[in-house]
Amino acid sequence: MLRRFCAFALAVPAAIALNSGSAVARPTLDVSARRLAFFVGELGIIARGDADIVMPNGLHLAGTAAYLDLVHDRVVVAGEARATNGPRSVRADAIAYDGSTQTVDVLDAGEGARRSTVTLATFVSVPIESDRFDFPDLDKRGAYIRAHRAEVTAHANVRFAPAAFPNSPGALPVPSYLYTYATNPSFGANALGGATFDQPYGIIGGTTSLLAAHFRYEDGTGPTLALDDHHVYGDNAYVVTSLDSVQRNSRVGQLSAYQRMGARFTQTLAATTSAYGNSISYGLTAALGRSSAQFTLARYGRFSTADLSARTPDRPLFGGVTYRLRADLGVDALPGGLLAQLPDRRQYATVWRHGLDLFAATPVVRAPLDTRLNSTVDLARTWYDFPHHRDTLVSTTTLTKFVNRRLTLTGGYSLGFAYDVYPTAQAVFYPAPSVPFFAPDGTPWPGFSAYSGAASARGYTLAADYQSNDPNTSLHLFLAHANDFPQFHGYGRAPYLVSFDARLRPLPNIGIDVGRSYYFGWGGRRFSQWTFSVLP
Amino acid sequence: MIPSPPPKLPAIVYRALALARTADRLVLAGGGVVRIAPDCTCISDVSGRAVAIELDALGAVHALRLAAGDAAPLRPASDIPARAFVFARMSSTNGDPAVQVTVTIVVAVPAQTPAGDDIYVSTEKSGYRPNELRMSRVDPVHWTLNITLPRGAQLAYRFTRGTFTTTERNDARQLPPAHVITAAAGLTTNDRVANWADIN
Repeated sequence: MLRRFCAFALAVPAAIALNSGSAVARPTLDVSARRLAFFVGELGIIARGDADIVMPNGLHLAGTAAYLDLVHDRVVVAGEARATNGPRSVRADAIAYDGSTQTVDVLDAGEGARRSTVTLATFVSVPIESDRFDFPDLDKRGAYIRAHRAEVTAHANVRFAPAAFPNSPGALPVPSYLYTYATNPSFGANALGGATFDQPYGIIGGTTSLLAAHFRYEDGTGPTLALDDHHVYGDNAYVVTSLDSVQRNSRVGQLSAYQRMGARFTQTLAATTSAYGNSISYGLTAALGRSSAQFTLARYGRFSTADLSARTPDRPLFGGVTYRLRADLGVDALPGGLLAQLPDRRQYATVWRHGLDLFAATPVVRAPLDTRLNSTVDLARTWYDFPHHRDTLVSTTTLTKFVNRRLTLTGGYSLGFAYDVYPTAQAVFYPAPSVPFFAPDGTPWPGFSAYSGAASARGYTLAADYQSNDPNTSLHLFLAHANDFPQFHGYGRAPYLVSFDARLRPLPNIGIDVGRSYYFGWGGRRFSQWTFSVLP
Repeated sequence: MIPSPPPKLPAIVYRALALARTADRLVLAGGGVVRIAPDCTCISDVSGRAVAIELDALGAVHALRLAAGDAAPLRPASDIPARAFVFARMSSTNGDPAVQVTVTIVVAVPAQTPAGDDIYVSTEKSGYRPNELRMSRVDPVHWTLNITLPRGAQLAYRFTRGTFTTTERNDARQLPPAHVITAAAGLTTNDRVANWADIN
């Protein structure tokens, strides 16, 4: 299966790559100096000491210092600046190159500015344009990467060699590091699961593709190595394939693909394969004005499911309250039968179902103490062709107090109800326990016999969010009380929970996100594991 | 009676990034050129470095040193008087990147947004990492974030609920193009998330 997945994972991005042109080698700009410093906030490189820049168009720039603006594709060379292209060359106090117009401005302190093309054939006097000669003052900020040499693929990535990370504790110097700054948001797509720590190292890439290695630490697994491969095609399509825990038998292969087909249709494909099983799902969404319809098809091991749904747009009801309706028709299938509790389960290898869902929301209204309030309710019923239906109700009320620009308090109440009804066979599917039921901590729980398919959940939450002037520094405190059924000694949600999540940026180029929860001894459990993420 | 000389005013010191210097002129970042006084106490190795500049009464540089570690309060290069320039630079079309401004991003999210979820801004600066910047809740459906950017800088961003699978979708339930702002002092956006990728 893994071999088939790898073949598929390689074939799909290859097809997109050929379509998007990423298979063509892209020209690069080479820069070297005694010291290179890369500033991630500005996407700029400062080169100091014998800066030397070779362009793919044949232009060669040199000087005492240089600034490369990766966003605007421009270069400024300062101090004993020289520009050369074949037999032609020019010297000046500063030289500016603009990649978007392929022009070169030379500035002489005694004569002003002159402009030429990259051929340096003829020069004409021009006013001094500030934007072209801008060289930002970044001395007070920490460099993200220090290197001696860099290779820039315009609007895509820059490879530093060797790369050191002076402000990122834990990031070891590497002989070569690829930093991707491609402007396509689909590069954010990720087929890898969550990890406590994830440090990506680009291996090869361009404006439409990126192959990266990830050094990760995952809860329960420990340190792992992963690979992921992105191919994007504008905002219209992407394919991401990944292989997690490459060095372990528990390796997981994943694929995530998206394609926009015109203004109305979108299709997605996701697949996972591992030693524990395989799954694949496909989705097709159609926009019908502000309504939409969706078809999904999925297979998890031997279980298959298909669903066709349509929903209305949000419609006004009264007093600012809006609602939307959603209807769906689906089928589930499992060879050998879905209803394992029945002696004739083989008759039920396929079960059809249909459902209706009503969602309504109030507008945000002012409430006492200068608070803001809104409520939502979601009511749904699903009917199955075997005599069976399932009702769900979820209602939330949220109250927010915006204390000031830094502090927000939020209170919430949620009510959930789910009832699985088998009109002719309730006792078959929810039988009274014949032996005592034990909660996870080993406590006998006679009350569980009262559970016959109806579950309720009531939650009360209080949250405080503190945000400093720096968006990278925040504190989130959360207190929750849950009163559910069934709920007992570790079974279900913890009745009381307090947690915090803090974000700090102790150094200019390193952020930390840390959090932990306390369960008040629920089922013998007090603290959750620490969550800890390093943010670039 | 001979009048006593006026008290000496403290010199105004400017911080600027120098591109190059010759015997009598100093080229500043942005391309402006100022004169250097014959009696200047000047360092020579200034290319690509932040420098502290003192001007004399005629607007010529009479002291030039590295700005690093300068204890005196330094004024920005944009305050250097126009009379000091031999070649004045054109005004920047992108504003002054040396000036940092605060921009406020405000977004309205759908009522279907799960009440316990946080909203994040993911930007091109991080390669669109989905949990890059956490926003602050204003009310049940509005969130805000203040960010500091160089004036005139463009920023492309999207909204998420912390993962790529919870990224925003447009009315057609498709990935929308990134939102783009050009930083200006006091700029406040009025963005809207039409749908989320994982909520139909």
